[in-house]
Amino acid sequence: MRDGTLLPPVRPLPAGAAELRSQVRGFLSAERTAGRFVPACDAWLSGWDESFSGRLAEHGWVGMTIPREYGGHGRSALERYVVVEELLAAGAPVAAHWVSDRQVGPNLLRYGSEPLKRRYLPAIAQGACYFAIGLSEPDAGSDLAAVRTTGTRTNGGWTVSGTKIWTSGAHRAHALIALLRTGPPDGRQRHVGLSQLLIELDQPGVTIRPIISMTGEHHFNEVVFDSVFVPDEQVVGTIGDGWAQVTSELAYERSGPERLLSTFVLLDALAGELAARSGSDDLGPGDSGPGGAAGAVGRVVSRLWACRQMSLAVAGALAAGEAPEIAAALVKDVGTRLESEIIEVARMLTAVRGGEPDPEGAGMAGLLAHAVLHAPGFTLRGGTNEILRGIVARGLALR
Amino acid sequence: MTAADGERELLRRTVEDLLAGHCTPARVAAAAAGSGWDSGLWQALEETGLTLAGSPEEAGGSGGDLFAAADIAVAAGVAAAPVPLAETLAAGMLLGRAGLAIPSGPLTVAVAAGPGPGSAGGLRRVPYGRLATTVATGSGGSGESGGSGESGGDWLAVIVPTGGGGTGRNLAGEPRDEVVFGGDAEVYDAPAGTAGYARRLLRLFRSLLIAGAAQRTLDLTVTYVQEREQFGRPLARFPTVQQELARMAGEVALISAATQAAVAAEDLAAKSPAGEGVSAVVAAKAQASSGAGVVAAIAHQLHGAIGTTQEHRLRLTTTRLWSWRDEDGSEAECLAELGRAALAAATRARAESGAGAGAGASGLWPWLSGSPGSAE
Repeated sequence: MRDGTLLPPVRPLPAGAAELRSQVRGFLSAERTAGRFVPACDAWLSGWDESFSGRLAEHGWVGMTIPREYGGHGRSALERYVVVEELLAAGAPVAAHWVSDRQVGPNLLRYGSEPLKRRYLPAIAQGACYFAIGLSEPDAGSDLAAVRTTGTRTNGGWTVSGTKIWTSGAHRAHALIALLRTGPPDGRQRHVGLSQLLIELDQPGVTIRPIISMTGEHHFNEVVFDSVFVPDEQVVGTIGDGWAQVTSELAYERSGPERLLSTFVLLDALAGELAARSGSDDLGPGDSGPGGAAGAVGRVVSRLWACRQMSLAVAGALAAGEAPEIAAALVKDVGTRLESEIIEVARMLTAVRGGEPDPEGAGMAGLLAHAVLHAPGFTLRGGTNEILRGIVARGLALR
Repeated sequence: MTAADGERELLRRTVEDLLAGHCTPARVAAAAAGSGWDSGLWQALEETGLTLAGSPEEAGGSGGDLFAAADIAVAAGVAAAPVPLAETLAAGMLLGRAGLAIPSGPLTVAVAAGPGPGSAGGLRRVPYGRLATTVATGSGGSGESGGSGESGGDWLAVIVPTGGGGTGRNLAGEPRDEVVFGGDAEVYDAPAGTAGYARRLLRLFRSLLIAGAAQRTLDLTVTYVQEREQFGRPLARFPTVQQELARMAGEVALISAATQAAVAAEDLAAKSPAGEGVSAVVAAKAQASSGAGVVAAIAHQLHGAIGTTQEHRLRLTTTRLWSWRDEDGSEAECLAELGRAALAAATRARAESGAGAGAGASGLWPWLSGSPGSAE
């Protein structure tokens, strides 16, 4: 096996990336200064702020890759990468438009019918149309092909019944993109007979129940469909091709900067705190060596830097039309574990100075409390790391 | 694939094939047990000009860019080649930058801890110092000429092996020798930044060797778990084994990404002024070093007891990983240096924006997402 087969080559970002980066930084700095957002960990899940999404869209930074004819901006996937990593590093509230921007826009561009594109893409690019993802079900988590929500053929469309679970933001989203069964499996070929439908959520037969996280926050929902009519126009792609359509998106979902930057705000705050205490470059003899704060920070920083290079390598390959499935799974595995390692370093270096996680606390104490309670989700969402490692191992052994 | 990509691929294959032909487990082990190197392999490499890729032809090098030299170094790591190949590549580039002629034969690089060659005494644990010409460098005082001593400039010395210093070895049996400045050492005033450049080259090439060895360790382990059967099936079929294999692959990929990015950053740094961002080479060596231990540990766990024997080829690679992670910028040194630089960036940003700046503005991200010499 060759080096190059495990990881695509690391490629430089396109010309103009630095200028774009600086524009986004300027915008974020102004937003922060005006008190329009407070940096938070995991804000791509928990930071729902529709007015922020709107302001971002006014700058052309939502639905960036959507062509102009559909109201978008015709930018490249790597330009979007730059914007997204700036937003994540700043802990900006991007949850409202997150699924539309990352998932549904590209999906519709690739598979959507012309009327579907006309209907949703302009609103997505305006930062005004929000989606939930309907993949997991009570009996279908890691085993996605076990979905039991059904679409039954009816006059002019499909009658949908079943239950989706862990649907982030469904209680505030306009629509849900669902994977469901529209036909029987072909013997043991369970991937056959699955389809993708866009379901408007504000209609009779749709019941959305909150699932409250242990933080007390409401992100997740259970969405029950009871004989909901979905017209043919809302079918995404081809009936029966749902599995291929869903899995083709996974490399994007698994290798993006959100798989390494969910706790960056905490690391940033820790660095700020340590800098404030030392007041100079000199941390003092105990902290500046490998066994002190510098060594601990260096360890997560080197890993974060390397994870970012990996993520960029996969992004470059995706932009070049490749499908680096193994490398994408690797990014998610190492990146999400790093997100938790950052919490551990911040926790230890805060504790030695007499601090502890405090849900009501300001600064580090509050950030730590939020991060600790969010951490278990990092290695679960988007395919559990155990499943991803299985994909990697099979990829290695089958060569 | 562009023409340049095609050429790079061709070079890579040429090096890999040549090294694979020579670096049998028996010959790699014999080098460590005997003279410390494989002179037959060295001769074959030298005849092809591969030992001086990346160095300017005017200085006697083979031409080509840093990417070519880097690919050769990775291949040397894959093969556990018992010759100072990466060291010679680095030395050639160092001499080329200083405008000096590159001597023939195997070369190695040493950065002196002391202020000048006169006061430095011996150089410790120089790779292949007993048989390679040492290109030594340092800052502040070139003993013989005296000129740059007062100005504190960098110096560079070319020291032909005399057999005078003590010899030693690392965990893999690679020569790590003392090199002493004899009367016939040639000392030159070197351009500003020579010592720093040498330090970066050493760290970069050691990281590339680690990247190759890590890749090789993974390959050996994948092969082993597919062949070895227990409970009536190959080890590769056990989910617990798969999980560890994937964790190992993650570390190998991290090292690969880090070293590739460091090569690209160093290549850019040579062409445009350095930025204020993270030092990619320090970050890469820190990552290569910290990943090396994880890779070796998982490889041995999955190989079982047989992997711990002298007879088994695994140790030819894992002993190198264990040594290389602490050579040319140890894991501890690079982690601390990187951490201090990160906190210094936070401190600078604090000073610029006023101490009252809120969270989210520590300056860590601009530092981390930038890199020396790049517009990014």
